[in-house]
Amino acid sequence: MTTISSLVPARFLTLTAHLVIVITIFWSRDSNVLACLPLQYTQEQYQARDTELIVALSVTLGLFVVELAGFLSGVSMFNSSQSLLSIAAHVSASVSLLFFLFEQWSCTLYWWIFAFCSVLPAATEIVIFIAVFGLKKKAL
Amino acid sequence: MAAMKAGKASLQLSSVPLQMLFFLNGVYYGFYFLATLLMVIYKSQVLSYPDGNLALDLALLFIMAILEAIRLYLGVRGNLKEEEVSVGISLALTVGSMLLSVYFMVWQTYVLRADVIVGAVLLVIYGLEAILDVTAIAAFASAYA
Repeated sequence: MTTISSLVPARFLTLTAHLVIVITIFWSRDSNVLACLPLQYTQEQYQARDTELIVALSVTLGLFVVELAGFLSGVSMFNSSQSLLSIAAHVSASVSLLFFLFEQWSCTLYWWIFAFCSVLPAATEIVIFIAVFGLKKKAL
Repeated sequence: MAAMKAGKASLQLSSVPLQMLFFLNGVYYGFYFLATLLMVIYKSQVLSYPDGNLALDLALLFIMAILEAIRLYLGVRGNLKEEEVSVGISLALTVGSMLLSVYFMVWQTYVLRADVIVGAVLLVIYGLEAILDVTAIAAFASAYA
């Protein structure tokens, strides 16, 4: 692609917006953890749920690093299909996580958002990495 | 005016990562400006501002936008034309932008968590830009172009 398409800034902005919301949820996860505990809970139950949510958020941040590495190094910056998939996934993630935060959704719902909106684009990113570096295909 | 370097494959001194950073900075700053402005409006409705503070916050935000525009324009121009003076002025203005972003993260009247996060990302971008600015100025200045 010789011209700068508008997919590149859109992808960067949606990626960053998703990142900002994930960090915000990390900072204020107390209400979400309380939402998935029964009314009478013990400290161990709270810790277990809290740790689960921390693990989910940390893995999300790790997958962000994978996707940002692929994007900023140019490996998939101009690949339209990956850009479209990434934009769609991160926009849905941003909107759902906004609801997750403000409506205090239960923490088990986070795994669903995580699966569709973080794992999917990161997995295709890894496929592109393998295609470009391993199989020496030209960046699509 | 690329320098002639005997035996060197590339004649181009302009820094591609720096150009990428300028482009992404411009796009991200649009998001940052909108986010900060909306948060200030939200805070003005929900919280009570002491006299004059709201005007100060808004004025600094608009000054930051103008500073950013000048800074990015000079930086892009200097990088593409391989002029170290423009990139140097851009680097000096980056210091001002960094101070303003720290203002919005720490010294603002009311600071929300989201303020801190978007400000931190902006500071990371500024830091990387400052480093690449210095390497670009070094490349341009030592080329005898």
